[in-house]
Parts: sequence; C-alpha cells; structure tokens
Amino acid sequence: MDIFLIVDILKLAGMYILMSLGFVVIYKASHVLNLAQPGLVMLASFIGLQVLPQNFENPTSMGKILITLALMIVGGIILGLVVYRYFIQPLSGTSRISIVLMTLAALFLLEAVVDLIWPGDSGFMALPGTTIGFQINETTYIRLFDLLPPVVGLVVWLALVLFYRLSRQGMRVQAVAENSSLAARRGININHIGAVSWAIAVVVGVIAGMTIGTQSVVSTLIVGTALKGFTVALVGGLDSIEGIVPAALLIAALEVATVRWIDQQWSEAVPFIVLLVVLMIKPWGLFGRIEELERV
Amino acid sequence: MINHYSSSGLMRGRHKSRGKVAVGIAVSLAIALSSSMALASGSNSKPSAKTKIEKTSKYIMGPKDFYLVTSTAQVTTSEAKATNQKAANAVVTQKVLSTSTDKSTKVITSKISEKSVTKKVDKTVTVTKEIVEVKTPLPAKKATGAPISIGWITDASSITKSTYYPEYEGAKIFFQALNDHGGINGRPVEILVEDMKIDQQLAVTAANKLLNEKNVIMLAGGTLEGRLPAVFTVVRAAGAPFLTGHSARPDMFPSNPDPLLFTVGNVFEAMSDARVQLWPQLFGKDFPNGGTSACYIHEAPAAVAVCNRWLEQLQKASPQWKSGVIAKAPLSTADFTSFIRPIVNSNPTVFFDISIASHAIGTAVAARNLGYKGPIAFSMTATPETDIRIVANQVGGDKLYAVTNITSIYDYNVPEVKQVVAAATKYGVTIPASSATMNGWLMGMTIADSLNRCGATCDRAKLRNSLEKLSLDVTGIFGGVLAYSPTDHVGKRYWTGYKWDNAQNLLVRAIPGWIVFNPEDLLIPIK
Repeated sequence: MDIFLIVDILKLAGMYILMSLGFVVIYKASHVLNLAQPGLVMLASFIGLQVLPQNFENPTSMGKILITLALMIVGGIILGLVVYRYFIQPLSGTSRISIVLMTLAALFLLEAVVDLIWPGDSGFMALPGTTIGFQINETTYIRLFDLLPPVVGLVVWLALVLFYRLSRQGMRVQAVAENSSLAARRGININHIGAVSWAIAVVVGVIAGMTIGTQSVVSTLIVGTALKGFTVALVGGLDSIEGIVPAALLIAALEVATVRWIDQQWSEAVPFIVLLVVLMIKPWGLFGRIEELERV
Repeated sequence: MINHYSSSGLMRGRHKSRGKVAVGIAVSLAIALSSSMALASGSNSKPSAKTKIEKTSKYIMGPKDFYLVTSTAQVTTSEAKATNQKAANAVVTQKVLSTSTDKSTKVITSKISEKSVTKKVDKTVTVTKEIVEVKTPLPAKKATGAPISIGWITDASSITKSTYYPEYEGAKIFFQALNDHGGINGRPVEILVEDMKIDQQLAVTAANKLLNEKNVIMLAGGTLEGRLPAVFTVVRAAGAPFLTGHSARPDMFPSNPDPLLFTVGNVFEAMSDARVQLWPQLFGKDFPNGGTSACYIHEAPAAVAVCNRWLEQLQKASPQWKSGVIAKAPLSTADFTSFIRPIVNSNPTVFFDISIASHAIGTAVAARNLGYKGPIAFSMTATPETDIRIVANQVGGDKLYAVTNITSIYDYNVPEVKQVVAAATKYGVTIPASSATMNGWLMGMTIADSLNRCGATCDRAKLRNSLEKLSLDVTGIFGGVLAYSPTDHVGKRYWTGYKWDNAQNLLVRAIPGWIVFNPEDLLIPIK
C-alpha cells in the first residue's frame, strides 16, 4: 500500500472535517443551514495571514504565534456571540428560510469585507518547522505539517462529540434540536443554546481557516474550497457530528483516487457525485435522522 | 548600450521556416551599419544585401527630464555563406558619430552607427544601421485643458488582482509622469478604471460604461482571455480600439487581425512556441543533455495550449527534452498535494509551473514540501517576481527559475526599471511594482505614442490607425521594438530567463540577452 496515498487522503479528510463541522453544529442546534461558514473560514485565514509573525529569527516568535492563536479563538467566540445576538436572534420565530437567507447575506458581507481589506491578496501563513518530519525509509519522508489537518480535525471532532454526549450544555443542545418548544418549557434557554452554537461554529471556522492556511495559499478561493465542507456535511447527515468523519474519509479517498488514477479534473466533481449517490440511497445522509430532514 | 543576442539556433536547419525565424532574429535584434562584405572567417561567397528604413520612437524618463526620442534608421542586412563556423551570438558595436543640441528647443540630434555580426552555422549575417536620433525634451510643466480619457478594465478585487491590477498601476504612473511633462499636446491623459474581476458580465458592463457613458477614446487592460470576447462585441459596436495587456487566444489575434484589437500580451500558442526556443538556453548549462519537463496549469480551456502544445513541440524540436507529467488542478483546490504528487513521484529534470499566481506558488511550495529538489520554472507573465519571492521565502530559493517577455523589476541596472521604480515611488502604487507594472508602463507608452502621432484632432478611428503604425523601441522593458502593422496587431516578442539568487534574495538573469520570436513563425500555424 502506498503510504503517500494514505497521507494524502488523511490530510484532505482532516480539512474536510474542519470545514464541515460549522455547518453541522448550527444545523444541529437550530435546523438552519449556515451558509456563512465558508466566509468565516476565509476571514479567519486572512486575519491569520495578517497577524501571524512572518519570520522566526526572534525566539519570542513561537510565543507570539500561540498568543495570536489564542486571541483568534477568543475573537471567534466573541464574533459568534455577536452574530447570533444581532443577526440571528432577531429572526427568532420567523421562517427558517429567512435565517438561511440571513446567513447567505452574511457570506456575501464577509466576502465584501475581505475584498475591501485584502483586495486580491494571497499568501502563506509562514510557520516554523514546516519541513520537520520523519524518514520512513530511503524514499519516504512524511512531514509533520502534512499530519496537522487530520490530527487537528480529529481532535476538534472528538471534542465536539464528547461535548454533545457528555456535557450538560451539549445535552441541552440535543434537547433543543429534538423539540425546541418542549425544551423551552423545561427551562432551557433557547437563546443561550443558539449563542453557544454560533460561538462554536465560528471557533471551528477559525481553526479550519488557520489549518488550511498552513497547507495551501490563502486567497478568496478558500470560499469555494470551504463550500466542499457543506457537501461533506450533507453526505454525513446534516444533524450528525458522528457522520462527518466517515463522510470526509469517503469523499477524500475517492477524490485522491480520482486525481491519481482517473483524471485530475474529475476530482472537482467527486464530492458532488458522492452526494448525489448518497442522497439517492439515503436522502438524510449516511448518519442523519430521517425525521430531521422531513422538518426542513 | 544594450547587448543583443540571437536565438539558440535550436531548430536551425530543420525546416525552412525555422531559417526564416533565424533571419528574423538577426534583423530584429542586431541593428547595425551596412556592410556588403562578409566579415566572418570562412565565408566563401558574395553576400546578398537588403536595405530598408525603420522608424521608431521611445520615451525616456530621467530624474528630472522626460524625453520623446524618435529614430530614423537605414538598415541593411547582408548574409554571406560560410563554412566550418560555429554559431555565435551577435557582436554589436555602436559608435556615436556626432551630437548637436539646439539651444532654443534643447532638442538633441545624434547620428549613430551600429554594426552587428551574427555567426550562424552556415552563414554570417551582418546588419548595419545608420541612425538619426532626435531627443526632444517634454515641457517641465503640468498638462492642462480637457483631459484625454482612456478606459481601463482590470481585476481590482479578486483572485487575479496581483496579475492584472499592476498593469493598470503601471500605465497610471506612466501617464502621471507624462502629465507632469505636458501630457499629449498639452492635454493630460486620464485613465478611467473599472473593476471587471474575472467576470464576463462585469466586463461587458464596465466596457459599456466606459465607451458609451464616459466616452473614452479607447479601451485597455482586460483579465482572463476567456472573459474578453464579449467585450470585443462592445468595442466593435463603439468603433474604439482595444489594447489588451495579457494572454490571448489565436482566434482573437489571427493573421488577418480584427481592426480594433491590439495586444502587448501573448497568444498562448505563440507563447508556448517561444518557450521551445527558450528552454534549452535557460537550463543549457545545468542540463546540456536535456531531460524530462513536467508542467502544471490550473484547470482552464487554455491548459492544452499552455502545457501540452509546449511539451509536444519541445520534444519535437529538441529531442533531448522529453515530455513529462502534466498536472491540472481545479481553481477551488484546497490542497495541492495529491495533484502535485505525480509530478514529484516522476522526479522530472525540471518542473514548469505556469498558472495564476495563487496556484503557481501553492503548487511550487507543495512540490518542495513533497521532496522535489529539481528546478522549478515559473512564467512571469502569470506569476510576477514578487510572488516568486513568496515561494523563495517559504521553502527556499534554490533552483527557482522564471521565463518572461518583460524585464524583471529586480533588474535594477536597466534604466527603464529605474524609471518605473522611481515613478512608483513618486506617484504611489498599491501593489509592489513588478514586471506586471512594467507591462502596464509599456502599455502606457504604446497609448501615448499612438495618441501623440494621432494629433490634436484625434478620435477613435484615427487612434486605431495610429496604433496600427506603432513602432516603439521598448528594448529595456520588452527586449526590442513593439511594432504593429495592418496585418499584425501582435508584433514580435522577446523572451529571456531569470534564476533566483538566494544571496541577493531576487531574480538575476539566467539568459543574458533576449531571444526574439515572431508569432507569425508558429511551429504549427494556427488553423
């Protein structure tokens, strides 16, 4: 077995996991498609490009990187709370389509903001240690940075799985997702759940943006890339955090295999072909619940 | 003095058409005084001579002064058969015979003689030239009066901004400098710019607005070639000339050209064919026995013309170079690893990475991260040197090359580069000046020269006629003379190559001179 095939699949799957989590987190809490997620990923990557140190000769650079990452996550939490409070909460009680359109408007707004601040810019997040890795045999060298997306993706995914299954807050989110009216009557603060979910979604977007920025060029093309996360979420099941990993692995494996053995240009179509096939067989996604789809 | 060099002689003797290329090379590059005798050793027959008159103009901007220089030259080209002779680059000798200055007008008139001798495999080509050069200082006062409006469409805010927007900025600073020295016939030239991104509908809207509402005298700029045919329709309806700055398809600039379309850019097929001649020179020292060339291009209709044609022709013309893996990735690619892996696994002798800047630098970095240690060559027509620097800073600058038909902004010793850098500093640019800015400066000169010859009553039709008579000496930026004719709205192209220098953290010349390529001499004529 070609070890690079596995590395390439894991790397791509890791990025797909991070890009799809934001869609599922919001849908799970409110049954709303969060179309703003690709814009959040793009914004985070451009901010990362702007604020991360560009050289590492100074020994304090590593500390600056860690502080910057921490500040960006805190910023993500605040942005998520603000987005919910001022854009989503006022639409409570309106049709879901209104909220979906609001997230779409937010996507366009974020694109405009990025265009305004970084018009046409592109670049790499220069991080130390990008060449560090381990030699497996004479011809095989695996970079640690290539393992970053699957490791980060799995850690974030696992944290969210545990959050929903084990924490009181997570169970409340599940309860709201089951029946928001009943949950409210049982004393669960619906707005609090919504705000927490949006904060999580934005933080996941920040982590996705930063991770993509370590692997590829940061540019406005990231929006198109991050939209693939929506496909992964649909294949896994829009309300299923658990479904994300198998869906990401499936799509990444088929995409990499297509690039390698069939035709590089066909790889673009792979996620959508998989989506079509899955939706024909299981319209609610591989791990989604039937009743959830029927409510949309 | 600018040194001129002939082409590699790569295809010499293979086909008659290639011989025609070689003659064209000598005629264009070597400028010299007439000589009817063969100078090279080994010549054994009487030379045949052809004489013609060449008129060119150029702009020179000094620290304080701005000159318009017009040259009239009598050019004589003679060929003499020779035997037992090795091919060699042209040796150019130049002599200033006399210089006089008119005290009242400060016009400097010089008589110059130049002689160039180029040794071919079986002949010696001698080109001689008697030049009368008139250097007219432009007035050191700002232009006033009603401005002449030029419309410009470009990508001001999307993914190809770093490729196209500097062209607009290059033209803008050229005209700012020109306007500070009297403009055109005392009138300032203003550029009205519209953002078309890489969107055809936006481009049409922008062109309509500029031509029909703003009533500009001509249109310039453009972005991806695939978005432009719809603009051509608008241009034709308005009867205004359109000068494009970048890549083009053969159908846009056929041998019987559209009357209104002109370009300083490159037709893809011609660009690919030119690189066939360029390639062995770029890597000649490192890989005298050739090798395998891999190629990367983003997913686009032009991919076939850019990678496939080039590799096919390279292999035919230069059998020591084999065609390697061709990789193509969709525009929205998140990670280039799996796309570049086949190239890295095939370990090509060289990897030609030609794409829009974000893809080119992404794939180059991916290739290095995957362990490819061989040479990576970029096309500066798509990936400006400032973006190549990003790659060098990210993964190191070892064995990074660039081919280009525009001088690098890092070529600080070229006077025209100094002019552009000085103007960029004085008037300001938002994207650091690069060869793309130089291309815009070249477009500015092209427009200014055409407007100048067009006269005080210039309109769209007259300007079109004026553009068609362009003969602009832009050697420092472009490698030679940019000239159009009723049957040619593209003109010759001059190519050179650079290599990244880690010590200086910039590109330095890998090919000392320029290799001329006439698009009319395509290896496979465009059908």
